[in-house]
Amino acid sequence: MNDSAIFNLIIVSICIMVAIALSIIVLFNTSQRRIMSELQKAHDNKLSLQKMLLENTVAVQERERNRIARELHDNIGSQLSIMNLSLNVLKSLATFEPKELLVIDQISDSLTSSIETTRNISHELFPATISKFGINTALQALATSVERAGVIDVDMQISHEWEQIEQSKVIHIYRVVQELINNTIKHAEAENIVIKSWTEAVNIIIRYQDDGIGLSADYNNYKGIGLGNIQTRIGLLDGQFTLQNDQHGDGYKAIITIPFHKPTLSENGENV
Amino acid sequence: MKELSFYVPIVISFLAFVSYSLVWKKIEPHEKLIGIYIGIGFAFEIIARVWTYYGNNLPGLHLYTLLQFVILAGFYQGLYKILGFNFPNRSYLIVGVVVIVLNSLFVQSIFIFNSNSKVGVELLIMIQAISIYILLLRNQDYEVSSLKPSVTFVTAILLNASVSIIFHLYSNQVMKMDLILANKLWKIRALLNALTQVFFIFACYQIHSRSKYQKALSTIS
Repeated sequence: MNDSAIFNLIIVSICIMVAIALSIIVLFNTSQRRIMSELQKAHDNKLSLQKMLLENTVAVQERERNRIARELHDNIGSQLSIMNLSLNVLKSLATFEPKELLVIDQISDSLTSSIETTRNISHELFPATISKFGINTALQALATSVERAGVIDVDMQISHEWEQIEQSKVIHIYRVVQELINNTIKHAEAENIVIKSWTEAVNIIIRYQDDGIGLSADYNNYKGIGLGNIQTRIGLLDGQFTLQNDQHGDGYKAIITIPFHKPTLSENGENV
Repeated sequence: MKELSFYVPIVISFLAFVSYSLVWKKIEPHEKLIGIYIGIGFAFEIIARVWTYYGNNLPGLHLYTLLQFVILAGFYQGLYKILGFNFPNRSYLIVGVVVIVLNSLFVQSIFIFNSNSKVGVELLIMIQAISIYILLLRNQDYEVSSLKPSVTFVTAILLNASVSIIFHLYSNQVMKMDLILANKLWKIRALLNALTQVFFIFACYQIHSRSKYQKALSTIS
Protein backbone atom coordinates (compact mmCIF):
# COMPACT_ATOMS: atom_id res chain seq x y z
CA MET A 1 0.00 0.00 0.00
CA ASN A 2 1.26 3.45 -0.83
CA ASP A 3 1.28 6.38 1.64
CA SER A 4 -1.84 7.94 0.23
CA ALA A 5 -3.81 4.69 0.63
CA ILE A 6 -2.61 4.31 4.23
CA PHE A 7 -3.51 7.94 4.89
CA ASN A 8 -7.03 7.39 3.50
CA LEU A 9 -7.39 4.16 5.45
CA ILE A 10 -6.45 5.93 8.69
CA ILE A 11 -8.88 8.80 8.01
CA VAL A 12 -11.74 6.40 7.20
CA SER A 13 -10.94 4.32 10.32
CA ILE A 14 -10.91 7.45 12.46
CA CYS A 15 -14.28 8.52 11.02
CA ILE A 16 -15.77 5.08 11.71
CA MET A 17 -14.40 5.03 15.27
CA VAL A 18 -15.64 8.55 15.99
CA ALA A 19 -19.06 7.63 14.58
CA ILE A 20 -19.20 4.52 16.80
CA ALA A 21 -18.05 6.47 19.88
CA LEU A 22 -20.55 9.28 19.20
CA SER A 23 -23.36 6.74 18.69
CA ILE A 24 -22.54 5.15 22.05
CA ILE A 25 -22.46 8.55 23.75
CA VAL A 26 -25.75 9.67 22.15
CA LEU A 27 -27.39 6.32 22.97
CA PHE A 28 -26.25 6.60 26.57
CA ASN A 29 -27.50 10.18 26.88
CA THR A 30 -30.93 9.51 25.37
CA SER A 31 -31.36 6.33 27.44
CA GLN A 32 -30.34 8.12 30.60
CA ARG A 33 -32.70 10.99 29.87
CA ARG A 34 -35.56 8.55 29.22
CA ILE A 35 -34.87 6.64 32.45
CA MET A 36 -34.63 9.88 34.42
CA SER A 37 -37.90 11.16 32.99
CA GLU A 38 -39.61 7.83 33.84
CA LEU A 39 -38.20 7.99 37.37
CA GLN A 40 -39.34 11.60 37.69
CA LYS A 41 -42.81 10.63 36.49
CA ALA A 42 -42.99 7.79 39.02
CA HIS A 43 -41.79 10.15 41.75
CA ASP A 44 -44.42 12.75 40.77
CA ASN A 45 -47.13 10.09 40.80
CA LYS A 46 -46.01 8.96 44.24
CA LEU A 47 -46.08 12.54 45.49
CA SER A 48 -49.53 13.23 44.08
CA LEU A 49 -50.79 9.95 45.60
CA GLN A 50 -49.33 10.96 48.96
CA LYS A 51 -50.94 14.37 48.66
CA MET A 52 -54.29 12.79 47.81
CA LEU A 53 -53.97 10.46 50.82
CA LEU A 54 -53.14 13.40 53.05
CA GLU A 55 -56.07 15.39 51.68
CA ASN A 56 -58.40 12.49 52.39
CA THR A 57 -56.98 12.04 55.88
CA VAL A 58 -57.45 15.72 56.67
CA ALA A 59 -60.94 15.69 55.13
CA VAL A 60 -61.91 12.66 57.25
CA GLN A 61 -60.43 14.39 60.30
CA GLU A 62 -62.48 17.52 59.59
CA ARG A 63 -65.65 15.46 59.06
CA GLU A 64 -65.06 13.64 62.33
CA ARG A 65 -64.44 16.93 64.13
CA ASN A 66 -67.64 18.25 62.63
CA ARG A 67 -69.56 15.17 63.81
CA ILE A 68 -68.13 15.35 67.35
CA ALA A 69 -68.77 19.12 67.46
CA ARG A 70 -72.38 18.56 66.40
CA GLU A 71 -72.84 15.75 68.93
CA LEU A 72 -71.41 17.96 71.66
CA HIS A 73 -73.54 20.93 70.71
CA ASP A 74 -76.80 19.24 69.80
CA ASN A 75 -76.78 16.28 72.16
CA ILE A 76 -74.68 16.85 75.27
CA GLY A 77 -75.10 20.64 75.17
CA SER A 78 -78.89 20.31 74.83
CA GLN A 79 -79.11 17.73 77.60
CA LEU A 80 -77.08 19.94 79.91
CA SER A 81 -79.36 22.89 79.09
CA ILE A 82 -82.46 20.78 79.80
CA MET A 83 -80.94 19.62 83.10
CA ASN A 84 -80.22 23.21 84.06
CA LEU A 85 -83.74 24.23 83.11
CA SER A 86 -85.23 21.32 85.10
CA LEU A 87 -83.14 22.28 88.08
CA ASN A 88 -84.47 25.84 87.90
CA VAL A 89 -88.05 24.50 87.60
CA LEU A 90 -87.42 22.22 90.59
CA LYS A 91 -86.07 25.21 92.51
CA SER A 92 -89.21 27.23 91.83
CA LEU A 93 -91.69 24.39 92.53
CA ALA A 94 -90.50 23.23 95.94
CA THR A 95 -89.37 24.90 99.16
CA PHE A 96 -85.81 24.15 100.13
CA GLU A 97 -83.67 24.71 103.17
CA PRO A 98 -80.97 27.42 102.64
CA LYS A 99 -78.30 24.68 102.70
CA GLU A 100 -80.15 22.73 100.00
CA LEU A 101 -80.60 25.90 97.92
CA LEU A 102 -76.85 26.50 98.08
CA VAL A 103 -76.18 23.03 96.67
CA ILE A 104 -78.81 23.53 93.93
CA ASP A 105 -77.19 26.86 92.98
CA GLN A 106 -73.78 25.20 92.89
CA ILE A 107 -75.13 22.47 90.59
CA SER A 108 -76.77 25.12 88.40
CA ASP A 109 -73.50 27.10 88.18
CA SER A 110 -71.63 23.93 87.33
CA LEU A 111 -74.14 23.10 84.61
CA THR A 112 -73.96 26.62 83.16
CA SER A 113 -70.16 26.39 83.10
CA SER A 114 -70.33 22.93 81.47
CA ILE A 115 -72.77 24.23 78.84
CA GLU A 116 -70.36 27.10 78.07
CA THR A 117 -67.34 24.74 77.91
CA THR A 118 -69.23 22.30 75.67
CA ARG A 119 -70.22 25.16 73.38
CA ASN A 120 -66.62 26.43 73.23
CA ILE A 121 -65.17 22.97 72.53
CA SER A 122 -67.81 22.41 69.88
CA HIS A 123 -66.97 25.74 68.20
CA GLU A 124 -63.26 25.08 68.41
CA LEU A 125 -63.69 21.62 66.89
CA PHE A 126 -65.71 22.90 64.01
CA PRO A 127 -66.40 26.59 63.59
CA ALA A 128 -69.84 26.60 62.06
CA THR A 129 -69.34 30.35 61.61
CA ILE A 130 -67.16 29.60 58.58
CA SER A 131 -69.93 27.93 56.64
CA LYS A 132 -72.59 30.34 57.91
CA PHE A 133 -70.83 33.71 57.79
CA GLY A 134 -67.51 33.14 56.04
CA ILE A 135 -63.84 33.04 57.00
CA ASN A 136 -63.57 36.72 57.97
CA THR A 137 -66.33 36.48 60.56
CA ALA A 138 -64.99 33.15 61.85
CA LEU A 139 -61.49 34.62 62.32
CA GLN A 140 -62.91 37.75 63.95
CA ALA A 141 -64.85 35.47 66.32
CA LEU A 142 -61.64 33.59 67.07
CA ALA A 143 -59.85 36.88 67.77
CA THR A 144 -62.70 38.06 70.02
CA SER A 145 -62.60 34.81 72.00
CA VAL A 146 -58.82 35.26 72.52
CA GLU A 147 -59.25 38.90 73.55
CA ARG A 148 -62.03 37.97 75.96
CA ALA A 149 -59.43 36.30 78.19
CA GLY A 150 -57.96 39.79 78.65
CA VAL A 151 -54.30 38.87 78.13
CA ILE A 152 -53.70 39.29 74.39
CA ASP A 153 -54.97 41.91 71.95
CA VAL A 154 -55.51 40.72 68.40
CA ASP A 155 -55.33 43.17 65.50
CA MET A 156 -56.79 41.45 62.44
CA GLN A 157 -56.79 43.04 58.99
CA ILE A 158 -58.01 40.52 56.45
CA SER A 159 -58.53 40.86 52.73
CA HIS A 160 -62.15 40.62 51.69
CA GLU A 161 -61.20 38.55 48.66
CA TRP A 162 -60.93 35.60 51.03
CA GLU A 163 -64.68 35.26 51.00
CA GLN A 164 -64.39 33.89 47.48
CA ILE A 165 -62.05 31.05 48.37
CA GLU A 166 -63.59 27.61 48.27
CA GLN A 167 -64.76 26.08 51.56
CA SER A 168 -62.32 23.15 51.52
CA LYS A 169 -59.39 25.58 51.44
CA VAL A 170 -60.80 28.07 53.90
CA ILE A 171 -60.91 25.53 56.72
CA HIS A 172 -57.15 24.93 56.30
CA ILE A 173 -56.43 28.66 56.51
CA TYR A 174 -58.60 28.93 59.60
CA ARG A 175 -56.84 26.00 61.26
CA VAL A 176 -53.41 27.46 60.47
CA VAL A 177 -54.30 30.81 62.04
CA GLN A 178 -55.86 28.98 64.98
CA GLU A 179 -52.67 26.94 65.48
CA LEU A 180 -50.47 30.05 65.30
CA ILE A 181 -52.64 31.79 67.90
CA ASN A 182 -52.51 28.66 70.11
CA ASN A 183 -48.69 28.68 69.87
CA THR A 184 -48.59 32.34 70.90
CA ILE A 185 -50.93 31.72 73.83
CA LYS A 186 -49.00 28.66 75.01
CA HIS A 187 -45.38 29.70 74.52
CA ALA A 188 -44.90 33.31 73.52
CA GLU A 189 -45.89 35.35 76.61
CA ALA A 190 -47.09 37.93 74.10
CA GLU A 191 -49.43 40.89 74.61
CA ASN A 192 -50.27 41.60 70.99
CA ILE A 193 -50.93 39.63 67.86
CA VAL A 194 -51.13 41.28 64.45
CA ILE A 195 -52.61 39.31 61.56
CA LYS A 196 -52.61 40.98 58.17
CA SER A 197 -53.56 39.50 54.87
CA TRP A 198 -53.61 40.78 51.34
CA THR A 199 -53.60 39.42 47.82
CA GLU A 200 -50.58 39.78 45.57
CA ALA A 201 -51.00 38.69 41.95
CA VAL A 202 -52.17 35.07 42.27
CA ASN A 203 -51.27 34.65 45.94
CA ILE A 204 -52.85 35.32 49.29
CA ILE A 205 -50.22 36.52 51.72
CA ILE A 206 -50.86 36.19 55.43
CA ARG A 207 -48.47 37.80 57.87
CA TYR A 208 -48.77 36.70 61.47
CA GLN A 209 -46.72 38.43 64.15
CA ASP A 210 -46.66 38.52 67.92
CA ASP A 211 -44.56 40.52 70.37
CA GLY A 212 -43.64 37.61 72.62
CA ILE A 213 -40.31 36.06 73.54
CA GLY A 214 -39.87 34.35 70.17
CA LEU A 215 -38.81 30.76 69.60
CA SER A 216 -35.63 29.21 70.94
CA ALA A 217 -32.62 29.34 68.61
CA ASP A 218 -32.86 25.60 67.84
CA TYR A 219 -36.55 25.69 67.00
CA ASN A 220 -35.83 24.04 63.65
CA ASN A 221 -34.78 20.85 65.45
CA TYR A 222 -37.81 20.78 67.67
CA LYS A 223 -40.70 21.37 65.32
CA GLY A 224 -43.75 20.30 67.30
CA ILE A 225 -46.97 18.72 66.13
CA GLY A 226 -48.49 22.19 65.78
CA LEU A 227 -45.90 23.44 63.30
CA GLY A 228 -46.04 20.09 61.51
CA ASN A 229 -49.82 20.43 61.13
CA ILE A 230 -49.41 23.96 59.79
CA GLN A 231 -46.91 22.78 57.21
CA THR A 232 -49.12 19.86 56.20
CA ARG A 233 -52.13 22.11 55.67
CA ILE A 234 -50.11 24.76 53.80
CA GLY A 235 -48.68 21.94 51.67
CA LEU A 236 -52.21 20.81 50.81
CA LEU A 237 -52.90 24.33 49.60
CA ASP A 238 -49.67 24.28 47.51
CA GLY A 239 -48.51 27.19 49.61
CA GLN A 240 -45.36 28.19 51.43
CA PHE A 241 -44.75 28.74 55.13
CA THR A 242 -41.83 30.76 56.42
CA LEU A 243 -41.11 31.27 60.07
CA GLN A 244 -38.96 34.27 60.90
CA ASN A 245 -37.73 34.09 64.43
CA ASP A 246 -36.51 37.23 66.12
CA GLN A 247 -34.15 36.10 68.84
CA HIS A 248 -33.90 39.57 70.35
CA GLY A 249 -37.21 38.99 72.10
CA ASP A 250 -39.37 40.80 69.55
CA GLY A 251 -41.65 37.85 68.90
CA TYR A 252 -41.92 35.66 65.92
CA LYS A 253 -43.29 36.28 62.47
CA ALA A 254 -44.90 33.78 60.12
CA ILE A 255 -45.42 34.48 56.46
CA ILE A 256 -47.85 32.26 54.61
CA THR A 257 -48.24 32.37 50.85
CA ILE A 258 -51.11 30.49 49.27
CA PRO A 259 -51.91 30.39 45.55
CA PHE A 260 -55.23 32.06 45.06
CA HIS A 261 -57.60 31.08 42.27
CA LYS A 262 -60.72 33.18 42.16
CA PRO A 263 -63.67 30.89 41.51
CA THR A 264 -65.17 31.57 38.13
CA LEU A 265 -68.89 32.18 37.89
CA SER A 266 -71.08 29.81 35.94
CA GLU A 267 -73.87 31.02 33.67
CA ASN A 268 -76.42 30.99 36.49
CA GLY A 269 -74.09 33.01 38.68
CA GLU A 270 -72.94 30.20 40.98
CA ASN A 271 -69.34 29.68 41.98
CA VAL A 272 -67.66 26.91 40.02
CA MET B 1 8.21 29.90 13.91
CA LYS B 2 6.32 26.75 14.89
CA GLU B 3 2.85 25.97 13.59
CA LEU B 4 -0.32 26.62 15.55
CA SER B 5 -0.82 22.86 16.04
CA PHE B 6 2.44 22.87 18.02
CA TYR B 7 1.24 25.39 20.61
CA VAL B 8 -2.53 24.82 20.78
CA PRO B 9 -2.36 21.44 22.62
CA ILE B 10 0.13 22.89 25.15
CA VAL B 11 -1.97 25.99 25.77
CA ILE B 12 -5.21 24.03 26.15
CA SER B 13 -3.49 21.41 28.34
CA PHE B 14 -2.21 24.25 30.48
CA LEU B 15 -5.72 25.75 30.70
CA ALA B 16 -7.15 22.35 31.71
CA PHE B 17 -4.39 21.99 34.30
CA VAL B 18 -5.12 25.46 35.72
CA SER B 19 -8.90 24.81 35.72
CA TYR B 20 -8.35 21.60 37.60
CA SER B 21 -6.04 23.26 40.12
CA LEU B 22 -8.76 25.84 40.78
CA VAL B 23 -11.37 23.19 41.64
CA TRP B 24 -8.96 20.76 43.30
CA LYS B 25 -10.42 21.27 46.79
CA LYS B 26 -13.96 20.66 45.54
CA ILE B 27 -13.41 17.33 43.82
CA GLU B 28 -14.24 13.79 44.90
CA PRO B 29 -11.34 11.35 45.61
CA HIS B 30 -11.73 9.40 42.34
CA GLU B 31 -11.82 12.68 40.34
CA LYS B 32 -8.45 13.63 41.85
CA LEU B 33 -6.92 10.93 39.65
CA ILE B 34 -8.21 12.78 36.58
CA GLY B 35 -6.50 15.89 37.95
CA ILE B 36 -3.26 13.95 38.14
CA TYR B 37 -3.91 12.56 34.63
CA ILE B 38 -4.36 16.11 33.28
CA GLY B 39 -1.21 17.26 35.11
CA ILE B 40 0.83 14.37 33.71
CA GLY B 41 -0.65 14.98 30.23
CA PHE B 42 0.44 18.63 30.41
CA ALA B 43 3.90 17.70 31.69
CA PHE B 44 4.37 15.14 28.91
CA GLU B 45 3.23 17.65 26.25
CA ILE B 46 6.14 19.89 27.32
CA ILE B 47 8.66 17.11 27.97
CA ALA B 48 7.96 15.48 24.58
CA ARG B 49 8.55 18.79 22.77
CA VAL B 50 11.74 19.57 24.64
CA TRP B 51 12.94 15.97 24.25
CA THR B 52 12.68 16.15 20.44
CA TYR B 53 15.57 18.67 20.45
CA TYR B 54 17.81 16.09 22.09
CA GLY B 55 16.70 12.95 20.25
CA ASN B 56 14.00 10.29 20.11
CA ASN B 57 11.26 11.10 22.62
CA LEU B 58 9.43 7.76 22.33
CA PRO B 59 10.66 6.40 25.72
CA GLY B 60 8.39 9.13 27.13
CA LEU B 61 5.41 7.56 25.35
CA HIS B 62 6.19 4.16 26.91
CA LEU B 63 6.23 5.70 30.37
CA TYR B 64 3.09 7.74 29.60
CA THR B 65 1.23 4.57 28.48
CA LEU B 66 2.03 2.89 31.79
CA LEU B 67 0.96 5.91 33.85
CA GLN B 68 -2.19 6.40 31.74
CA PHE B 69 -3.21 2.78 32.32
CA VAL B 70 -2.66 2.93 36.10
CA ILE B 71 -4.33 6.33 36.62
CA LEU B 72 -7.40 5.61 34.49
CA ALA B 73 -7.80 2.15 36.08
CA GLY B 74 -7.87 3.93 39.46
CA PHE B 75 -10.42 6.46 38.19
CA TYR B 76 -12.71 3.74 36.79
CA GLN B 77 -12.33 1.73 39.99
CA GLY B 78 -13.62 4.77 41.94
CA LEU B 79 -16.67 4.92 39.67
CA TYR B 80 -17.22 1.14 39.90
CA LYS B 81 -17.30 1.45 43.67
CA ILE B 82 -19.86 4.28 43.53
CA LEU B 83 -22.00 2.29 41.10
CA GLY B 84 -21.78 -0.86 43.24
CA PHE B 85 -19.77 -2.98 40.82
CA ASN B 86 -17.15 -5.31 42.22
CA PHE B 87 -14.26 -5.11 39.75
CA PRO B 88 -11.02 -7.09 40.42
CA ASN B 89 -8.90 -3.98 39.98
CA ARG B 90 -5.75 -5.21 41.73
CA SER B 91 -5.37 -8.26 39.44
CA TYR B 92 -6.28 -6.11 36.43
CA LEU B 93 -3.58 -3.58 37.35
CA ILE B 94 -0.89 -6.20 38.00
CA VAL B 95 -1.53 -8.04 34.73
CA GLY B 96 -1.75 -4.77 32.75
CA VAL B 97 1.45 -3.28 34.19
CA VAL B 98 3.39 -6.52 33.67
CA VAL B 99 2.22 -6.79 30.04
CA ILE B 100 3.09 -3.14 29.29
CA VAL B 101 6.55 -3.43 30.89
CA LEU B 102 7.29 -6.76 29.19
CA ASN B 103 6.20 -5.28 25.83
CA SER B 104 8.57 -2.33 26.29
CA LEU B 105 11.45 -4.49 27.45
CA PHE B 106 11.24 -7.42 25.06
CA VAL B 107 8.78 -6.84 22.21
CA GLN B 108 8.75 -3.18 21.16
CA SER B 109 11.88 -1.29 22.09
CA ILE B 110 11.43 1.97 23.99
CA PHE B 111 12.81 3.77 20.92
CA ILE B 112 9.94 2.72 18.66
CA PHE B 113 6.17 3.19 19.03
CA ASN B 114 4.72 0.84 21.65
CA SER B 115 1.74 0.23 19.40
CA ASN B 116 0.87 -3.13 21.03
CA SER B 117 0.53 -1.87 24.57
CA LYS B 118 -0.86 1.52 23.50
CA VAL B 119 -3.61 -0.09 21.38
CA GLY B 120 -4.34 -2.55 24.21
CA VAL B 121 -4.60 0.26 26.78
CA GLU B 122 -6.84 2.37 24.51
CA LEU B 123 -9.07 -0.66 23.92
CA LEU B 124 -9.35 -1.36 27.66
CA ILE B 125 -10.09 2.33 28.32
CA MET B 126 -12.91 2.20 25.76
CA ILE B 127 -14.35 -1.04 27.18
CA GLN B 128 -14.26 0.40 30.70
CA ALA B 129 -15.91 3.63 29.51
CA ILE B 130 -18.74 1.64 27.91
CA SER B 131 -19.06 -0.49 31.05
CA ILE B 132 -19.45 2.71 33.10
CA TYR B 133 -22.24 3.86 30.75
CA ILE B 134 -24.02 0.50 31.15
CA LEU B 135 -23.66 0.62 34.94
CA LEU B 136 -24.96 4.21 35.00
CA LEU B 137 -28.06 3.10 33.08
CA ARG B 138 -28.64 0.02 35.23
CA ASN B 139 -28.01 1.59 38.61
CA GLN B 140 -30.23 4.51 39.61
CA ASP B 141 -29.19 4.72 43.27
CA TYR B 142 -26.66 7.48 42.72
CA GLU B 143 -27.22 11.22 42.53
CA VAL B 144 -27.02 12.17 38.82
CA SER B 145 -25.73 15.71 39.41
CA SER B 146 -22.84 14.46 41.57
CA LEU B 147 -21.55 12.18 38.79
CA LYS B 148 -21.95 14.65 35.90
CA PRO B 149 -18.25 15.68 35.84
CA SER B 150 -17.19 12.02 35.92
CA VAL B 151 -19.52 11.23 32.99
CA THR B 152 -17.94 14.12 31.05
CA PHE B 153 -14.48 12.69 31.80
CA VAL B 154 -15.56 9.24 30.64
CA THR B 155 -17.03 10.74 27.45
CA ALA B 156 -13.83 12.69 26.74
CA ILE B 157 -11.66 9.66 27.42
CA LEU B 158 -13.84 7.44 25.19
CA LEU B 159 -13.73 9.93 22.30
CA ASN B 160 -9.99 10.38 22.66
CA ALA B 161 -9.29 6.65 22.91
CA SER B 162 -11.50 5.82 19.90
CA VAL B 163 -9.34 8.02 17.65
CA SER B 164 -6.08 7.45 19.45
CA ILE B 165 -6.36 3.70 18.97
CA ILE B 166 -6.33 4.14 15.17
CA PHE B 167 -3.24 6.36 15.31
CA HIS B 168 -1.37 3.89 17.45
CA LEU B 169 -2.52 0.95 15.35
CA TYR B 170 -0.84 2.55 12.33
CA SER B 171 1.83 4.52 14.21
CA ASN B 172 4.80 2.64 12.82
CA GLN B 173 3.48 3.04 9.22
CA VAL B 174 2.85 6.77 9.88
CA MET B 175 6.49 7.15 10.94
CA LYS B 176 7.57 5.88 7.51
CA MET B 177 4.95 7.91 5.65
CA ASP B 178 5.47 10.97 3.47
CA LEU B 179 6.14 13.89 5.87
CA ILE B 180 3.31 16.10 4.52
CA LEU B 181 0.69 13.37 4.98
CA ALA B 182 2.12 12.36 8.36
CA ASN B 183 1.99 15.99 9.51
CA LYS B 184 -1.66 16.19 8.51
CA LEU B 185 -2.38 13.16 10.69
CA TRP B 186 -0.43 14.59 13.65
CA LYS B 187 -2.44 17.81 13.31
CA ILE B 188 -5.67 15.82 13.51
CA ARG B 189 -4.27 14.07 16.57
CA ALA B 190 -3.33 17.43 18.13
CA LEU B 191 -6.81 18.78 17.42
CA LEU B 192 -8.35 15.72 19.06
CA ASN B 193 -6.15 16.13 22.14
CA ALA B 194 -7.17 19.77 22.37
CA LEU B 195 -10.84 18.76 22.11
CA THR B 196 -10.37 16.26 24.96
CA GLN B 197 -8.81 18.99 27.10
CA VAL B 198 -11.81 21.24 26.32
CA PHE B 199 -14.05 18.45 27.67
CA PHE B 200 -11.87 18.33 30.79
CA ILE B 201 -12.23 22.10 31.25
CA PHE B 202 -15.99 21.73 30.89
CA ALA B 203 -15.92 18.99 33.57
CA CYS B 204 -14.09 21.44 35.85
CA TYR B 205 -16.93 23.91 35.31
CA GLN B 206 -19.39 21.13 36.22
CA ILE B 207 -17.42 20.46 39.42
CA HIS B 208 -17.63 24.15 40.26
CA SER B 209 -21.42 24.19 39.62
CA ARG B 210 -21.90 21.02 41.66
CA SER B 211 -19.99 22.52 44.55
CA LYS B 212 -22.13 25.68 44.42
CA TYR B 213 -25.30 23.55 44.30
CA GLN B 214 -24.18 21.43 47.26
CA LYS B 215 -23.29 24.55 49.22
CA ALA B 216 -26.74 26.01 48.51
CA LEU B 217 -28.36 22.72 49.59
CA SER B 218 -26.44 22.62 52.85
CA THR B 219 -27.45 26.24 53.56
CA ILE B 220 -31.12 25.39 53.03
CA SER B 221 -31.05 22.30 55.27
